[in-house]
This record gives sequence, C-alpha cells and structure tokens, in this order.
Amino acid sequence: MATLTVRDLTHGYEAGRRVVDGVSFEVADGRVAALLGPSGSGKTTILRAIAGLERPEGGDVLLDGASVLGRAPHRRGVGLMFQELALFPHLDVRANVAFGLRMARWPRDRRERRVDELLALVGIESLGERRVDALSGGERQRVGLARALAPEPAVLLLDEPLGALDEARKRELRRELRALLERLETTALLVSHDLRDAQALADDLVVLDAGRVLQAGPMRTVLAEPVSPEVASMVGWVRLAEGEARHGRVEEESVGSVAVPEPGDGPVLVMAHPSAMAALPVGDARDSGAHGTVIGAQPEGPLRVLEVAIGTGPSTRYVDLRWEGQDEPPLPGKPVALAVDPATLRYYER
Amino acid sequence: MIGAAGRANGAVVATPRRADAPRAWPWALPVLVLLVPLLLWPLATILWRGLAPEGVPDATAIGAVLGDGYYWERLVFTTAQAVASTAVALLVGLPAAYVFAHIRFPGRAVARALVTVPFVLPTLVVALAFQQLVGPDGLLNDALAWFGLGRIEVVGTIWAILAAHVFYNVSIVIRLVAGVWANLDPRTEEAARLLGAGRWATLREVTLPALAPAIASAAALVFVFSFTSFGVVLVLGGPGLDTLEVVIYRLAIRLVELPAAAVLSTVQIAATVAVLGAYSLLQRRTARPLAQRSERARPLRDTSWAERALALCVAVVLALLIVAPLAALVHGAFTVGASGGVTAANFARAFEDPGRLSFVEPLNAMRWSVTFAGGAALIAVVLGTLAATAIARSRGRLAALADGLLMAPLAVPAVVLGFGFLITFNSGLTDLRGSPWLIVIAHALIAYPFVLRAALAVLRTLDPRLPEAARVLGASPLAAWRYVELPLAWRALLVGAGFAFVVSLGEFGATAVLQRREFATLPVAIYTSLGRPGLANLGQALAMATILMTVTATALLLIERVRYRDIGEF
Repeated sequence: MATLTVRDLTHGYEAGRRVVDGVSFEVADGRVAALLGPSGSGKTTILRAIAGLERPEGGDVLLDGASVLGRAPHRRGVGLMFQELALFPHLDVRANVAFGLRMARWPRDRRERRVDELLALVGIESLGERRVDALSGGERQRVGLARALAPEPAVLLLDEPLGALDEARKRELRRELRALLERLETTALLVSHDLRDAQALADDLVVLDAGRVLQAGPMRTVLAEPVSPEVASMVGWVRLAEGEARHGRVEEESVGSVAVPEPGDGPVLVMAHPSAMAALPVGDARDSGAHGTVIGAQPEGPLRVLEVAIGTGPSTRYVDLRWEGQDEPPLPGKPVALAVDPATLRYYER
Repeated sequence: MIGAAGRANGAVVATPRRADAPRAWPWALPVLVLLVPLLLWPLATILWRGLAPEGVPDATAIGAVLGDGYYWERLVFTTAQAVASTAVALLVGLPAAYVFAHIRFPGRAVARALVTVPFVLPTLVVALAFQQLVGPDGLLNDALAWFGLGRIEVVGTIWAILAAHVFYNVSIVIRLVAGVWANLDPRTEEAARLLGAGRWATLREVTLPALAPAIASAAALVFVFSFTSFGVVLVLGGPGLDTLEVVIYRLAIRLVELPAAAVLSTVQIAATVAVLGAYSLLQRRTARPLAQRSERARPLRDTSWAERALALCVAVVLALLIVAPLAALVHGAFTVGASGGVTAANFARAFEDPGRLSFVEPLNAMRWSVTFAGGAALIAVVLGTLAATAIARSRGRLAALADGLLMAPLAVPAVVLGFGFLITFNSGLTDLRGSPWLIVIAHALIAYPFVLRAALAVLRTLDPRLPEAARVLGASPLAAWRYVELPLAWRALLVGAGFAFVVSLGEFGATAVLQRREFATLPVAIYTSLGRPGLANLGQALAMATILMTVTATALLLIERVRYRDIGEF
C-alpha cells in the first residue's frame, strides 16, 4: 500500500489544448479517490501515465514520495483495470488472474492458492476453467478486477470500473466493489464520468475538466461545497438564477427573483441542489420567488415527480422535483413555484 | 456550461503519442539486413547487366531488345494473356464469391475447402493436369471420340493457358472477395432497399463500391501471377506463346544472352512493381473494414430459387474447372502405358532409381524437395514474423512504406530471382554456384510474404491493450510479446509456415534456373521426365505429379483446419 502523488502532470496535445494540463492531486495510503470528468477531460490519460503506459511530457508521479517516472510499467507495482478489461482471450479465467503472479515468478502452489483466494474474493470461484469469451459482462468485470489485484499492487487504478454494465448489474457490482475496496484497504484511484459511481465508491473526489483539476478534496466537502459553478454543475447542482443582485435579491428574467444573503450589489449566480428543492403551486407560502415550467409528470402514483424547466432559451436547465402541492400537479406548460431552503443554496460572484 | 464543452471535446478521442509504444524498427532491421544483399543486390546486378553489359554504360542491349519485334510480341502476348486471365477469373470468381458468402447449400464446407486447393498446387502439376484433360490424348478428346465427335487441339493455344490460369486464380478471387462480402454490414443494403433502391441498384450503388477495393486487389494479384506465369506456359504454351518469364528462362540457362535477359527482367519487374504498388495501396484500404468487421455479419440465408440455381451453376462450373483436370491427372497416372487397363507401374517407377547418370533420381528429388521446403518455411516464418510485427507496429505513411518494402519479394518473379542469384553469387566470397543454399534462400524469399500476410492479418486486429495489460501486470516488453502476442498469433504463423512449405514444394521458376541434377526437386524431376520421349517417362512424370498434388492438397487442408477464423487476406 502506498500514497500516490501526481504533481503538475502535463501530457498530450489535442484539438488546440493540452489533454492533461498541470494536474496535481494526492491519494493518501489506503484511501479511494475518484477522478470525475466528462469524456475528453484527460482522465484515462492520467491513469495511463501513472501506470507507465504514457511517458508524461511534464510533471511527476510519486509512490510514497519517490518518483516512479523512470520505471517501466512492469516495474511500477501499479495495477490497472482497463475500461475494456483487455482480458487475454487465449487464457482461461484462472490463467488470466494468475498472469501477474507468473510474471512475478510466484511458486506454483502459492500462485494457485492466491488465485483461489481472489476468485472467491470477487465471487467467481466456479468460473476458473471458463474461457473469458464465454463470460457475461459482470463476470468479465470481476475477472478484470481479480487479475489487477492478484500481484498485490501498491496502487490500484480502475478505468470506468462499471462502465459497460447495464443499470441493474451496475448497482449490484457497485455495492460489492465498495465493500471490497473497504476490506482490502488498497490505495485506489478510479476514473468515472458517472457521479453516482464516484460517489458510491470513493472517499475523495478530484473533479477534472479540459485537462485541469477544478477541485479536489474529501467526497462530502466537494459535493456540499463546490468551489465554482462549474464544479457545482458537475456534481449535480443546477443554476437557480443569475443576474445583478439588487436590494438583497437577484432576478433572472423568465425565472423570477431569489433572495441573496449579502446586501452587496453586483453580478451573482445562485445554485441549488435538486435534492433540496420541491415544486409547489404558484403563490404558495414556501415560494422562493423563482418559477419553472412543468414539462411532464411521472409517475401517476402517490408521489409525483415533475420534470421542470427553469429559464428559457439555450440556458434552460431541467430538474426532476417532488410535487408538494395538495392538489393535482399542473399540466405540462403550466408554471410551478420552486421551493428551496435558502440555507442549502450556494452563491457565486460572477 | 461544462457539460456541453466536455461533450464537444469528447468528440475528439484523445490518442496522445504513446511514449512507451512498442517500436517497429528493431523488428524490421534484421529483415532489411537480409533483404538488401539477398534481394536488392541481385536486382541491382540484373539492372547493371542490362544497362552496362561490358561494365560501362551502354544502351545497345536495351536497344537490341526494345528494337526486336520478337521480344515485343512476347511482351504483348504476356500482357494480353494476363488481362484475359484476370477478366475470366473475375467473371467466374465473383458469382462464386457471392454464393460462398451468402448461400447455404449442401456440401458447402467441402466446396470451400476444394476451391482453396488450386492456389497452392505446383504449376507443373496444374500444367500436366490440363494436358491430361484437354491435350491431344486427354480425357476431353477421349470423351469427344466416344460421342463420335472430332478431336480438338487446345494445348499449344492460348485457351489451355487461360484455363490453367483461371483454375489457379479463381481461388484468389473467391478468397479475397467472399471474405469481405460475408462481412459487409447487411444493414447498409437493407437501408438502401428501404430507401427505394431495387436489387440491382443496391448492388451497383452500395455493394459493389464496398467490394471494389477487394475486387481490385484480387485483380491485381491475379494479373501479376498470370503475367509472371512460368510452369504453365512452359508446358502448355505453343510456338510463339511464351511469357517473358519463359523467354528469360531460355535466355538465362543458355547463358549467352545475359544482357537481353537482364533487360527483359527489368521490364518485368517494373510491371509487377507498378501493379503490386497499386495493390498494396488498395490492400490498406480493405484492411480497415476487415479489422472492424461487423459482429452481426450476415447469417447464411436459406435461399430463394434463383439463388439455388446460381449456387448449382457455380458448383458445376467449379467442379468442371477444378475437379476435372485433377481427376484427369490421376487417371493419367494410373492408365498411361497400361494399354487400356489400370497400372501402378508409373508409381513404382516414381520411386525407382533410373540408374542412369543423366537422370534425376525421384527418391532423391523428394528428399531434397522436403529439405528445401522445411528450410525455406523455417526462414520464412522467422522473417515473416519479424516483418509483420514491424508493420503492425508502425503507423501512417511509415507503415505503408514498411509494408511496400517488406513485401518487395512478392514483386520479383521467380525466374528473375533465380537469374539474379545466378549472375550475382558467382564469384569471390559469395561464390555459391552449384550450392543448394541458393535454392533454400530463393524459396524462403518467395514464400515469406505468405507468412507475413497471415501474421499481419492477426496482429493488425490485435487489441493494443492486451500487451499493455501484460506490461502493467509485470511483463517486460519481450515477455508481453512472448506470453500475449505470440500465443494469439501462433495459429496464423502455423498457417503461414504451412503455406511457405507448400509453396516451396511446388516452386519451379527459381529452382529451374538454380538446380543441379544432384539436388533437383520433385518439380524439376517431373519436368525432366516430361522432356523425355516415351510413355514410361510420361507415366513417371504423371505419377510424381500426382504424389506432389496429394501432398500439397493434404497440407493445405490441414492448414485450413488450423485456421480458425477466415482471414480475408490472401
């Protein structure tokens, strides 16, 4: 186990900008960090640089404070689970898992024991003799994980570990992977474009866009206190209103006005988290002053969730909100009031 | 709007330069180090001999050849028969490719195996087979006589040559085109139909354009093989019907008109290089769709009536074209000299020491054939593996250059190669006159492109992440190659080695130029027996050809069993 430090990592040039542009972060010994970012944000390139599959043009990668940049991939002691898994098609499940142990010249009996242990760990004891092309998506995922874990890497890298799975299987494997990572106490860095995966699996979050780190820190801190509107929208917040603050309120045409706590005038952006919002009839006591338009309602059950559009034109944002009115919700096209606890809002000066 | 910006960037998938990417040149270097002295030096010698027969630049040889109507006639004939062979091979091969790609019919597996056989059969075997079928005493004339019809003379005309060339090359057309055709995404054709295109319009607007690169590569290969045809023309050609390859052979073994042979060799190489250069470009264009072949390749359909009729036609034509001559060969081997009955005497003679010094001893020839083939296959596998790895690991223009350079031996006709060896390795340290090594080397050079193609097809489709995964799991670059890439490519290498072995067994052009009686090969023995009068000698030649056919066909069928995916190349 080790602490992984990435310092000023710079690499590649694509579409007029650096693919990875001065990225720094640290994953402390035994912690699990997630790199979150849209596709093209440089996540995979960072993983490949840490694994030694890319030689970065600038910056450093350190394990326990010592640079590993000069070490070839096979001497780094870093495990990588590829997004596409890259299972060896000519080997069966056992041989795939044993590959790293063979390379490290483990004696046969220890190797066999370790493989048994890993197959049990990921829950595929019965599949050892199976060909890898005869496995289901979830099983392949488990083999990829067991293979990466087998040589006891100092750091485990996971590239979209739940990427290719359907929703139901994703949920199941997400839970198992979380339990596994907790049990193993391995330092791990995973890459994902899906906030739910990152949230479920990692202790720390590194938010990445266009090759730069926007914010890094403990998961809870980043989710609750995004430092910029960009990070906020990447971790699930939506823009409630944007405009000039005057007399303690900010008004956006077609939305309405929202109170701002500080009396200072100037451009401001108010963001809200959908989990702290609800939809109400216009004129309700809890009306924040901001309004949206109903797009649709689902399902036709005891609890109504409305799809609501906030704002108009190209800056329209869409949220799913609980309907908390007494009556039937308004029909699509009709306005609703947005209820929101002012204490949960975040304000950004523009 | 970060989300939107991210999505816009996401359209460009970042593939930065891989600093740790496996390098190509260490693999290419050993091959190039061998190709330069063994291929380029002989070719340079040929060129120099033509340009400067007496050691100083002198255009008289060129003038003499180009000003001579005799040579012009041969050049025109060579080109014309190659064009005609290509056209007929496509005419027969394309419908057959359709049938093999799409139609389920009884005996399909057998038919598939059958059409792959001609490609590797030794030229002399094929020439003899056609002689036994359509020759003056052939089965066809027997049949005509039985029906009370007049005899026809085909041997010694272009028709016999054409038939033999089509026999050979139909398998190339079927192989190259059916592979691509079967893997075309059926949805594109379905989309065209839904957009209002009829059957023919769909074929013309969607299917043929998609197949065009494959058809063009097939045509280029067939043209080159027919253009440089040697054994077939030597046996089946008549007065005036010589390809350049045959002319060069005659000039070279007489060893008196070296400058003329050199000029003709140069002309021939220029033609093959031009055509194969075009082929190589097209090959690269077809390699891409093959690599990303659709998973939902169209299933074989149960067929309409018209298609069943087409399948039947194709089956009949192929059976006549492929089975009839081979049957005629076997028939001849068992009947010639038996005055109406069946005899095994010819086969007994094929294992007998003739006891005369001037004769080739058949058993000895078989031993040498196998020795040469084994040696050539071994060298070809090593060279082919190295070259294929180098090409697979280079990118863009460099890859095209490497491909062209490393495939160069394919562009050198066999007789020209032998001739080049003959006039290059004849003095000083490299005096290899009369050495069997020259034949092994020539065979290895001729056979190695087959290994290269077979290995390359697999290496190109190999996921680059597999060796990377091995690296991260602790494998050194060499270990990653040894434990991941090699195990995934070994079947292809085995297929390539098998092809190389079979090609060497049947090789006749270079061998004919370089052979000595002491280490003559089976094809040389066949040709020698053929050149002697008497039914006993003819029978012996037929028996040896039958043995050679059986060995090569069996080897090929074994190769087909090893080949687990149908790879479209070659």
